[in-house]
Amino acid sequence: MKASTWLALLAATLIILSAAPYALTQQPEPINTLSYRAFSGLALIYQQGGESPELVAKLNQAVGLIDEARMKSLQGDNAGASNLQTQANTILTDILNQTPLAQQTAANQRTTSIWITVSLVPLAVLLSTLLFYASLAAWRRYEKSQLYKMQIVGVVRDEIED
Amino acid sequence: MRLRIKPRDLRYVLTFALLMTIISSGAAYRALYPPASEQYFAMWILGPGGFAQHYYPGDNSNLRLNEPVNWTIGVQNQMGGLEYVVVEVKIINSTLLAPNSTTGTPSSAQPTLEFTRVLVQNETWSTPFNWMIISAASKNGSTSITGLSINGERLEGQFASASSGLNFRMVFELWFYEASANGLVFSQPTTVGPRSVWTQIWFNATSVA
Repeated sequence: MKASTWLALLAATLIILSAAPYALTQQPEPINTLSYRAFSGLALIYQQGGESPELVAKLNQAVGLIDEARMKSLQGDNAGASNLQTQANTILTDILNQTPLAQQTAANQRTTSIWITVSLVPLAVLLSTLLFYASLAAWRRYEKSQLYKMQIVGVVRDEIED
Repeated sequence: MRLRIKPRDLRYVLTFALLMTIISSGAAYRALYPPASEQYFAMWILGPGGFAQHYYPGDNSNLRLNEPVNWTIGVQNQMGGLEYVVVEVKIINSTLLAPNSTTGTPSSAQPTLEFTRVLVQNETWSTPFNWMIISAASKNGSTSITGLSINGERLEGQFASASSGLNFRMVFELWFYEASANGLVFSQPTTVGPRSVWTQIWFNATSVA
């Protein structure tokens, strides 16, 4: 074989190899991987301290359908399994579309809660210090009044002694 | 109003303010980042009525054909966040390896059925597991379970074989999604070694074939 033929073969192999990942990405994503991706998005919401019970309920509906599809497949009902997988796929896609907004809401809620909590610190310090000062001032006034009372008692005793 | 405060009292007030700053900052930090508690999953199988007893009809674990067995699978999530869990049900005999808690390895048998659920922190999930043997075959002293009904769904195939139909096991393994593995894992690493959650219930099927 000529060198040019070898080069052509090498180029064809490289093209096929570089195209393979692209071809793989064109295939529909396996339903389990899609459910993991939907779950990861929701898990992030909960990690941020947020909640999304509606999306979790939808995900549970989808994974339930996937389980049912697996059962149908085991029973040999491939058409039924495919139908259930399509339904699950629709729900999962819906979840994936709604997740960014839910994540943003959770992040905003988290930021708000951090700000509220952080701003409560100086407020708590200020209020408690004011209360402490008021108590201290009251105590000082009480001490002073007790001192005067003692003096009066002293005067009365002096008068008795006289 | 002019605030008159003696230097000694000012020292008290400033000391108090400093103490309160430290205490309230600590409390705020704890409120924002609560300490991690022990993380674990719990799984259980209960008999009829939700009790850990009377697993088999008439308390006889030697099952006959079409004899219904009613159990409930329960899972609790105490992992501190949202979890994706799968209960894999496997039927094995006494010679096939069961899951190994020490090494954290699952049974090598293929799952007969899977139950998937997404659980929030502290959530308990229960699902019925009503099953019966609907067909079996006997060959050379070995009994094979070839048909099962699980939650009303009929399944046919070669599920498990056991000598004389003795010592079958229904194994329940708890798998969960692990982001670093980008898939389901059976055990989680802990400071005292891998921790896995599984359980098994033994039964015989000596008079089904």
